[in-house]
Amino acid sequence: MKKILIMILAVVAAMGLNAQSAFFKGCEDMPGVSTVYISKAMLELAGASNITGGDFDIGGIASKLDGLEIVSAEGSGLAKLKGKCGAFSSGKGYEKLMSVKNDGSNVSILMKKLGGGRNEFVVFVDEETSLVVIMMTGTMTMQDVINAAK
Amino acid sequence: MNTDVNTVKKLLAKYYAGESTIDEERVLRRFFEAADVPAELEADRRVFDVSAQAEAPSWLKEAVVRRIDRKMRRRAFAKRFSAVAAAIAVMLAIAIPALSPRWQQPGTMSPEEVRQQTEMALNILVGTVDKGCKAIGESSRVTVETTSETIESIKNI
Repeated sequence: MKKILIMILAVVAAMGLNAQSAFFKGCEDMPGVSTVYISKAMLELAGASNITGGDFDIGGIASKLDGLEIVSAEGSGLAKLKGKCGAFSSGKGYEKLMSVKNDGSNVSILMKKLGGGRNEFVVFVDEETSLVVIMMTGTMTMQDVINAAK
Repeated sequence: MNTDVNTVKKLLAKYYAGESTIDEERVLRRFFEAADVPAELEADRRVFDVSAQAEAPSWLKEAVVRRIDRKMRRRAFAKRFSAVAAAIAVMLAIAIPALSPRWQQPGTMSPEEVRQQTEMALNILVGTVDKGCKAIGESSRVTVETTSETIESIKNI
């Protein structure tokens, strides 16, 4: 009995390692909301660590990514998605690092320490008619992001 | 231990109903082993005498031993198997999602799309930090310049 219980707990814990976030799951069935989930296995398969495009050297951060979730909404889904963003409050361990307003868009970056050297970065791209929420988990730090920007 | 007749009668009723415990049967056996069993319980004493003297035939003993052995072997196998099954289940739970990206991503993406999405996400993150850092630098420069101009103006008054 004890072994069966340990087995069930171990399986649930192992499944949890690969699971999507609660916020992402809550948005998956929302009408007017698009979701994209990319697992670490898929990132490796696609060779994400070799990404060199754009103005920045992002390959180093890409190799530290454990998973990527993107949720976006326009039109009818916008209000619903904005209503769900309370999941990223400071009470839940998220700290606002930066907020930049430029050309009609407001971009905010939040970070949460997950333990074991892992961090979660959440980026909100808030425009008048759309909202994109990007969640990145992995071992990258804020210093890695700043270094990539140099 | 002295057991009174009424208690014995109650225990006998449970015994014949098949509801007595081993301890209760032990109490009854001890009672009937004694020499001074009341006459009214003589028939019951004989029942206990017979059951005490009853010897199971050798084939029955062997069958029981065989059955116990089989059960113990099965239990030992189940014990060993449950540990192996637990290890396999944990390995599968980790390996299946890790090796099958499609298992997690119902709308399958090509590797190129994955690269594009990742690139876009990271460029937004790094680009925002870059803009923020530049804005901080710019505001510091403006502050220093404005402060210097103000000091110069004050000096000229």
